Amino acid sequence: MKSKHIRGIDDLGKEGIQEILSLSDHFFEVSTRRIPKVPALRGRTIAWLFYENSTRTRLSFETAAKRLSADSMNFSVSSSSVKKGESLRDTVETVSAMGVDAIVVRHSSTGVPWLLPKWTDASIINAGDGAHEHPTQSLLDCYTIQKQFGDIEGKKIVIVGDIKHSRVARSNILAFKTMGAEIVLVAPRTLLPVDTSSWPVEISEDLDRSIADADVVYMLRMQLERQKEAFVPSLREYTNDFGLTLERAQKLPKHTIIMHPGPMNRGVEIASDVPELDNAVVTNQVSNGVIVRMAVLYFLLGSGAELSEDGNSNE
Amino acid sequence: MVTAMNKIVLKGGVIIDKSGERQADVAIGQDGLISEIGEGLSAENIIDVKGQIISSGFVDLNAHFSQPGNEKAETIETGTRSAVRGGYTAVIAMPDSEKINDSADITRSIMKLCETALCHVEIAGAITLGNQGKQIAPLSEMAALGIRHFVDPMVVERNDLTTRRAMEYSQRFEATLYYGCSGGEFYSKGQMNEGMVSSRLGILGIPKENETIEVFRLCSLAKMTGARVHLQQVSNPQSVKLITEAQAEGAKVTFEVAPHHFALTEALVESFEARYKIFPPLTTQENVNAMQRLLHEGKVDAIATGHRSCENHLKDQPFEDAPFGTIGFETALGAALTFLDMPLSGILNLLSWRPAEIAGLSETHGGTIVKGRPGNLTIFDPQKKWVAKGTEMQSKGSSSVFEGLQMKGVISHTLVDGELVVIEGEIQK
Repeated sequence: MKSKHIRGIDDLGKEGIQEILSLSDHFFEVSTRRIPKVPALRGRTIAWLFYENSTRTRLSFETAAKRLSADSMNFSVSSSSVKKGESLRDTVETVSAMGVDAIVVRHSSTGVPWLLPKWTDASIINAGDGAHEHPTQSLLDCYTIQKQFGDIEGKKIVIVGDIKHSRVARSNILAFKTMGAEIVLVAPRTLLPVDTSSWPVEISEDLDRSIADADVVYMLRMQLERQKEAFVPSLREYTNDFGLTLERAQKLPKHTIIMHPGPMNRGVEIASDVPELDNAVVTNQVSNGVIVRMAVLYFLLGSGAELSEDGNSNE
Repeated sequence: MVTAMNKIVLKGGVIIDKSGERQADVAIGQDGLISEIGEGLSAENIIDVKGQIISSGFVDLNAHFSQPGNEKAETIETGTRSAVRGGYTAVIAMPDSEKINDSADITRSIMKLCETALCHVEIAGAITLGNQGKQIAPLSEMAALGIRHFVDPMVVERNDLTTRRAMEYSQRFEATLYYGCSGGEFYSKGQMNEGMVSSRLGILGIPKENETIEVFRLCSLAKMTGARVHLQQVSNPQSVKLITEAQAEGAKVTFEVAPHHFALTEALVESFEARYKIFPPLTTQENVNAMQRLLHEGKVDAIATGHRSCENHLKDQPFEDAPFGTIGFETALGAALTFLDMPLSGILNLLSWRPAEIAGLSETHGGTIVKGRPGNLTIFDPQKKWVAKGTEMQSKGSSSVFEGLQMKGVISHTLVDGELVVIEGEIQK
């Protein structure tokens, strides 16, 4: 049974991920057209509920929805009743009562996407919950890797940095593993979750050794405040031991790609000039983001019929 | 000569107290004291308790009422309604409502509020002003009003000096000092037990050392000063080991365990429901099993609920935004009977007899049911099954960590000072 929601990677499983990746191929083709827009979700309404600041993910989702001709309902949390103390439940019930087919939600508290179905019949898409999951980021990362290598299975993916506080890392570990990749986490012990004994990963504190034969080097954003919270003595020391310096990047095997979910802290986890290297695919991730989110919205809300006539669906 | 007719007789039940188990009727006189125990007794009001257990009323060493200050969450009246329905006839009210009981004035105002209570409420005072852990509250002034329980609740950043001085100073009142076992720093952002589940969910964890470090510190100071100290809501076996060692070395330390800590695990947090957000947090199955073993071995002094009602809309929030706390009076007996493999006498010892001793209430509560004692009694059917539903409980808030669980053990009647406050599960006021 196809899941009604995409709250976490487990809602999809391997089949779901594969279906979204192949839908993405289709929407990639759409994106190359002169007018990259299809009527696939005409008459469908999507609400955005962003309880945390987000520019990139939100723009990416909004662009995807527009290209599918969906209507969107923008619930601006910072200037709305939420500021006046409205509860999540009341907000969701209100939005739901107006009639929406899907709610895209980002929230600083873990698990919010799993609570929402108590209060609405809409499909829920998780755009990031606490440090827990960010499944659409993982789907676009999978798509980027698959486009690069043709396949994710058997690839060695090294994820570097603040795993402990990263929802991107948690979703990516689940997604990459589901697709058969080999995963290595590199971080100082303070930035790893306390108990990873059940995680399907190898853990290392030696960046140079781990990336020597990697297919993908995935750098995570290092929040500047981690220094104040005593997770690392200084950012300088962090960059030395766990940053992707230009020297390290240039030593990578030719085929190795460099990824980052953004926003980057240039000079901290990734050296200033590294994102411009040929094997850095950071901007590909961003453009794939729109395509994959089109696939995600279509996967949940589309009927299948609209796509079969896609040849003449431009209007 | 006409002897006054008994007011109530409990007919056909099985009495369990410290002296053992026996089948007999229990009669309550017009003065509220137990007037007769025997066969074929009569009274104005005959209550059929055939096949049920007659026990002394339960005593909760750790109850939180939000009054004074946060009456939206709970009042002494609603809280004690829930308490008597859970079989409790005496509870100690923690001094950590919005208005902290750290002065004689506030104590007096709470005494007044206690007139609305359905059971005995032992008022506890704060050990330190504003529960800040820094300056000792006017213990003598509160003691002059009869306060014998002083509390430094969870999450107080204590310093060794103040703790030591309070333990020394309070001894002249024959007081017991109650401490929550949380040092503060580890707790400050933690939301659940630190471990495999918190790692997977990305929720900040609270390591068990948050408790064990504080337990060690408090045991050391109790030993040093000779103070009577009771440790609250102890949740892991390492803490119990430290306490047992201190007890063996002569420290006057007792401790309690909450029902959920021997019944439920942190796996429940994976539902992201805030009803499972409690402090100290739910832990692992291994830990729960170890706590059960310690209870079975008689290493634990008391079961105490830590009952705390939260406004429902606050518990409707996302996990990390919601407050800590669960209601607990009405599920304590059920949890003990369902999750512990102990004889009834062992369970009653934990719910009633031993906590009555710790609270200094042995004269009126606890393990003896004989003629002349006040009629503080609880009658229950230990086999009857039921399903816990917070909305059917008496507290203002309905967030219960046991929601939806099938349990065995149903309270039918509760008598406070010889008055039936609960009949067949129905509150009589």
